[in-house]
Amino acid sequence: MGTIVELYGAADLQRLENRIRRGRAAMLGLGVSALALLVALCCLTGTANARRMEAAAIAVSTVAGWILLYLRRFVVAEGRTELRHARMLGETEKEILRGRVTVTQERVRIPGSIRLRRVLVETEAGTRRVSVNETRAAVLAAAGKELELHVANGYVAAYRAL
Amino acid sequence: MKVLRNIASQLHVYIIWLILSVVIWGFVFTHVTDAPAEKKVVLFADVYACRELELELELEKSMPDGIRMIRTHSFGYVVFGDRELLGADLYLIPLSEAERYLPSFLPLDSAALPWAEDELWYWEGVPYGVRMRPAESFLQYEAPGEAREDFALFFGVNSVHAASFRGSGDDAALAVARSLYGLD
Repeated sequence: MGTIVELYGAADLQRLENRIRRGRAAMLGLGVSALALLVALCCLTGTANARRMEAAAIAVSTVAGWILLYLRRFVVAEGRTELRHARMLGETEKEILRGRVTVTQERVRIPGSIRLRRVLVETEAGTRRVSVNETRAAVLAAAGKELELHVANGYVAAYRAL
Repeated sequence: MKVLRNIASQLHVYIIWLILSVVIWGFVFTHVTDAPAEKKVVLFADVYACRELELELELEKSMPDGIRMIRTHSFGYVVFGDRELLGADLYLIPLSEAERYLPSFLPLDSAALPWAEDELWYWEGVPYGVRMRPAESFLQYEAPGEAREDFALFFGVNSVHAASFRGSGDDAALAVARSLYGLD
């Protein structure tokens, strides 16, 4: 039997924490810069350039807002959700499943949570359906067919080749 | 590719933000480019077409003391509310309409005016307006093909810039009227 491979190691948790921190810093930097630029545009506005300044303010706030929305949703919020998921995997007692593992193409998205791929495990007691974080699905699929899965609350936390 | 997929999945949010941006900044700039009545002189021109921005810039070249901006509106501006119209300092009105709006105009003191008496418009012996068709390069008084009308400039009854006729405030409206009179 091979060694146990954790889907989220300490380095992964650190990477996620860094991603959230960098995302927040980028949001703060962009937000403050955009705000300063918008205040400057308002202060520099006169009769002659009012329409141009308004167009510039709309452009700045729109683009900065789009980037902020993107960072908040796809960097910070997703990072936080994944970190929460990874911590839950580490803290929860695992169930051991041994058998033939198939990572399906079925994707599941729980609102406000991570994207999942369904995993079928053909054990001696029958077929079990569990889930794996979509970002880790390729790792699990490449690990082979006969595996021992460590499952926490229905999510694959670690595996070992049999 | 992943970035585009992410954006596409939240496209409605980005479109809503774009709409909000336009509305919010339209509102903010309406206020940023405005000043209290004491700091601006407002001219309403009941003309066919008005190059408002160019006229404002021209009038602001000789801005009276204490005034931050000069605003020019056509009467179509009233669709945004009549507050600006009722508080305006100057009105450029065709004489055929003058009687109708008379309660909105200040009776003038001809001694305080820089114009000759025969240039004034009178109602029941009292001078109310100054007959003029100024700034014809900025204002198109009639629609093409319409008969030429006589116009007069009136001072608003609520103006805070007509001290010569009200006894309080300043005389910025009179100064702007003189500038307007000098424009081709």
